[in-house]
Amino acid sequence: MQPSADIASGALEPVEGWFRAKGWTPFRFQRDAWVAYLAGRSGLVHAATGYGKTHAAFVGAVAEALNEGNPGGRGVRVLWVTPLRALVNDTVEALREPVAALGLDWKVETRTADTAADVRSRQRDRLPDVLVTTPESLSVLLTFANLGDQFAALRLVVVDEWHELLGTKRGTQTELALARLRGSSPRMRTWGLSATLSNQDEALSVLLGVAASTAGVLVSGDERKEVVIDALLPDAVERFPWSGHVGVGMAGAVAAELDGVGTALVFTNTRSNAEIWYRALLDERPEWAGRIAVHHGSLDRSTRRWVEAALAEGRLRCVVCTSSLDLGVDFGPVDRVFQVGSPKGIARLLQRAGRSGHRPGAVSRVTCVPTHAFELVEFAAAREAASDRRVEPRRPLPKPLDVLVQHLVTVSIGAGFEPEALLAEIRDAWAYRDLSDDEWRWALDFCRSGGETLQGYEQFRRIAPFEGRYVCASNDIARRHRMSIGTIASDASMTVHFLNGHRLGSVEESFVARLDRGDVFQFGGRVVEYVRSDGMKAFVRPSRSSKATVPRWGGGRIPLSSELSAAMRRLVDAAGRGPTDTAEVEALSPVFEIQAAWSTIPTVDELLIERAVSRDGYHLFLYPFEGRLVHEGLASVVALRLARLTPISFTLSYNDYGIEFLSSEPAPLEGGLAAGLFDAEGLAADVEEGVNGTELARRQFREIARVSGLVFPGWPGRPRGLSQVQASSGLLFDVFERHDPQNLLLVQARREVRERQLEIGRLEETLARIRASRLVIVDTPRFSPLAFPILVDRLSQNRVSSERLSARIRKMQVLLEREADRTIALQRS
Amino acid sequence: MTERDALPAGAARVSWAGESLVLLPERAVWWPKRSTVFAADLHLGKDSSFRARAIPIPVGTAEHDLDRLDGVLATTAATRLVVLGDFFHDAAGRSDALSRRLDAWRDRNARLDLVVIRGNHDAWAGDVPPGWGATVLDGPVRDGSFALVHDAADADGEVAFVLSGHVHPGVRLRGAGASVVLPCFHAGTGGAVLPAFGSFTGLHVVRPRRRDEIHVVADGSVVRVP
Repeated sequence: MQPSADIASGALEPVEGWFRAKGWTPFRFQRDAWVAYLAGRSGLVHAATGYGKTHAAFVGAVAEALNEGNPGGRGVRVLWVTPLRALVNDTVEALREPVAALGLDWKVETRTADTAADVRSRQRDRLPDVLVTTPESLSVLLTFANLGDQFAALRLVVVDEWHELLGTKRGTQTELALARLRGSSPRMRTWGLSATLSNQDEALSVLLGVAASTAGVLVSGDERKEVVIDALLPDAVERFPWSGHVGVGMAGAVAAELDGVGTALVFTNTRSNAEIWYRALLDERPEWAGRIAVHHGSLDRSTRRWVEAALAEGRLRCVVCTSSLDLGVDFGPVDRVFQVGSPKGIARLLQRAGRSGHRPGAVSRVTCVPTHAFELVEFAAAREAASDRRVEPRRPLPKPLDVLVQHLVTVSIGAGFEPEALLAEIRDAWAYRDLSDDEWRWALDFCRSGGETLQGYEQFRRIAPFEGRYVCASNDIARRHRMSIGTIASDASMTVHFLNGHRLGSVEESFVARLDRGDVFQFGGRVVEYVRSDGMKAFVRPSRSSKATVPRWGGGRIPLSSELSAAMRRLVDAAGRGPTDTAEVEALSPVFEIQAAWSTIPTVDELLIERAVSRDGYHLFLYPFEGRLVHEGLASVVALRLARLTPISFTLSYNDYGIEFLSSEPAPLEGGLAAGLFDAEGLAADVEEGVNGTELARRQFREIARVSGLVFPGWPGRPRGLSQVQASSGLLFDVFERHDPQNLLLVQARREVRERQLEIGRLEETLARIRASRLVIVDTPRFSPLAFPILVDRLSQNRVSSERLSARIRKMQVLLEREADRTIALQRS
Repeated sequence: MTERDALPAGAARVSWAGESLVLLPERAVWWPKRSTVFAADLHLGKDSSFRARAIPIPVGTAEHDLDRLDGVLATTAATRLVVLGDFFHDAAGRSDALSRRLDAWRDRNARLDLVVIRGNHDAWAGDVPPGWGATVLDGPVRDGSFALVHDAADADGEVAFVLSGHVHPGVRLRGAGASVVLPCFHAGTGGAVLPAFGSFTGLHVVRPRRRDEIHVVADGSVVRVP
C-alpha cells in the first residue's frame, strides 16, 4: 500500500486543499476510501448518515481526473446509482459542488423516469461525465446500442444506500447491470455506501461480483457515535395490555417532551399512524398549527419536498413521518428523534436515531414511545442489542429467474448478445453464481419460444437468433419492454386531488371503493371530504368535520427481527428472576407479577404453553417470542399436525410474542408432543399444506408476473390497444398451473413464499430451539397477561384453519338461513 | 337425462321467467325443456393473442375449454348450444393452430345446433367459419320466454327475461379475516348475467342489489349466496 499511498498523497493535494478552504478536515475513513480508490480498488463504505459518505465515495474520482489533466466529454466517467428517485436532485447538487470548486468542466446530470424527453434524447448520443440514476433507469441504459462507447471511459460506479437494495429484486437488477458494465468498462471500480449491517463482507461481495468478491476493501466510518435509546414510561401500565388500544394515549407526554426541543422527528411504523399522530399532537398543542407537518410515502412529491425543505430551514419544529425519512441526503440534523411503537429491528432503530445529533461527535438520541405496555420490553431489548452492535443482516436474493428473464430481453435490445458470453457475465453476478445450465437454458427458452417443448408456446417469441446472436424480436417489444422495466410491484392506487386538480398524493383503490360521497377522511394532515372518482383519480374538498377516518395503506405489519426477538427473550427471562436494573422492565413489574402468579415467566431455555377454557372454547397458547411471521408458519404447522391426530379445527391468532389455538374440543397436546409436534421432518410440506401455499404463491406471483413481463403496469395516456392483453396475475398463475406446471416462475413463486414470506429457515431454527427447550405446560384459570393481547387481536383478525372454501360458504349460508328463520318466527309470534 | 332426473354434480336448479333452468359448475346454463345450453364469453384464442404479442402464455387453454364444453354437452345431452357473445377474443388470437382445434371440435359435434349471438369482441375478431353451419345473430333475439343478448345494455326496453354475458360477473365474499372473488350467475328482476365460460378470463366485481339472486361457483359447485 505504501507506494500507492504516496502517489495518492500527491493526487489528493487539491482535494485536501478544498477541504481546508471549507474549514474541514477529512475523516480517516474518507481518506482511506480515496487512497484505496486511487490504488485501483473497489469497496464498501459503511457509516451513519451525515458522516460525509458522499465525499468519501466521489472525491477520489475528482482527484484522479485532476491528476489526469481534467478529461471530460468522453461519456460517463462516474455513475451514481441511488434507490430513491427523490434523492436524485439532492445528490446532483452535492456532486456539483466539488466539481465546480476544483475546476473540472464535468457535466453532472440525472437520468430517471422524470428526466425531460429532450434531455433523454440528447443523452442517447452522449451521456454526461457524471450521471445520477436509479437501478431501473440504469437497466434502460443497457438497451442503448452504443452502450460500450458511452461507458468505455467509466472509472467509478457508486451505489448509494446499498443496504436498501440488498435483499430486494432491485438489488439483483443492480447486480446484473454492474456485471454488464464490468464487461465493457475495464477501468471501472465499484463503491457501495451502506448503513451498518451484520453481514458487511457479504454485502461487499454481492456488490463486486464473483471474480472480484474478495478484492474489495471495507471502510468503516462508524466512529462509534454515541447513541442513547430511552423510553417514555407511562404513569401506570395496564396489566392486560391491548395492542393498538392505547394508541395515542402517550401523545400528551410526547408533546410535553417536544416543548423543550428545537426540531424533532416522530417516526411511526405505518402511514396511517403518521396521520393519527400528527392529528393527536395538534390536538395537544393547537398553537403548533403550521409548525408541525406529516411526511409519508403516499403524499405527493411536491408536498414531501416542501416538508423536507422547511425542516432543513428550521421552519418546522416537528415532523411526524414513516420510513420515508429513514433514508436520504442530509436535510440537516434534528435535535431529537421519537419512535412510536416497536422499532421491530435494531438496524432500523439505529438508522432513525442517527437522524439526530447528525454532526460528527454529537450524541444521537431516540426516545421510544410505547403504544402498548409490552413494547417497553422491546425497547430495552433493542437498546441491549444495539449497545452490543448486534444488528440484523440483509441477505441477498438467490437467483430470482423473473429478474433474469427481464435482463435477457433488456440485453437483447441494443446490440444483442452471444449466449455463452452472456452466461459467463451473468454468473459473475453474485445472485446467479450457481445458476445451473438447466436454469439458464430454461430462461433463454422462455424468452425465445416460451416453453422447453419442441413447439414451445405457439406463435410466441420475444428474442430471436440473428447472425449468431440473440436480438429483440421486434421494435414494438423493445419499446414496451423499456417502458415496463422495473421490479417494484405497486398496488393499484388512486391519486387524490382537490376539485381544482391540485394533487395531494395517493391512496389504495380499495379504500376509495368503500367511500361514499360526503365521507370524511384525513390525508396529509388535512381533513377532506370525498366528492367523486374519475378513472384512477379521487376528488375531494376540504372539510371542517372533526370525525375523520384515516386511510389504511398496504404493506403488512413488520415482524420482529430475529435479533430483537432473542434480546427480548433474555429480558423476559431476567424479569422472572427478580428486580432488574432496566427501567422499562421494572415499569412492567405489575404485569410480570400477575403473569408469575397465574402462570409463569419463561426462561430462555423454556417454552411456555398455557391452556385455558372459556365460553368460546378451549384455548392453547404458545409463547416462542419469534415475531409474527415465524408464528404464522408455526401456528399452521402445529394446527395441521394436531388435526392429524384427531379431527379438530382451530381458529389461529398470533402476535410477535405468541400464538393462540382456539378449538371447540381440547387440543390433543400430549399426543401431539409424543408424535413429534415440533419435529423438523416434513416441515416444508406441512407449511405448504397448512397455510394454503398455493393461495400465497398465487399472490406472490403478482410481482413475478410484473418483473418477467407477463403483465404491464398501467401507464397514463397509453393507447387502448394493450387492453386486449391485460390479465390479472392471479389468472395468469392459474393458467400456468394448469398448462405448464413445471414453469420455473411458478417454482420461484413457491420458493419466495417459503423463504421470504414464511421464513422457513427461521422456522426451522425456532423448531430446533423449541426441541432443545424445556416445555412448561400450565393450565391457567384465567387468561394470563401474555395471553390477553393475542386474544384481543383475534377479535379483529381471524384465520380459520382446515376448512375448505365451499364448506365455509355453506356454513355462512346455514347461519344466515337460521337467522332468517328466527326473524320470521319472531314476526309470527 | 330428463328434467326430473338428478341434477349433475355441483349444479343448482333455478326458476327464471317461469322456466326451470340448471346452473352448471362449468359456468354455463342448461335449459332442459329446449335441450339447450347457454354459455357466454368463451374468449377463444385469448391465450394465442397474448403469445402473438410476445407475452408468454402456455398453450392449452383452448383445448381445455373445448373439452369442458364437450363435457357439458355430454352431461346434458343438449342438442343446441347458444353462445351469448365473445366467442373469439380478437383477430390476432385466431391462429392456424386454433382454427385446426376448433374445426376438430365442430367435426365431433357436427350435429349440434350452434347459435352465436355476436358480442363486442366478435365485432373485430370476426364470426365463426361459415362452413360450420352456425346461426350467427345480433342480439337481442327472442327464444321462448327469454331475450338473448351479449350486453344487457343493448336490450333496453326488452320485456322478456334477458340472458346475457359481457360483464364476467364476480362477487366478493368476505370470510373470517380474508376475502375472495368468485365467478357468479347474477339474476335480477329483468334478466340474468352469466359468468364467463372461458377459463382465461378475468372477473369484474359486481355489487348486487338486495333482491338479486346470486349463485357463485366454488370448488366445482354452484352455491346460492345471500
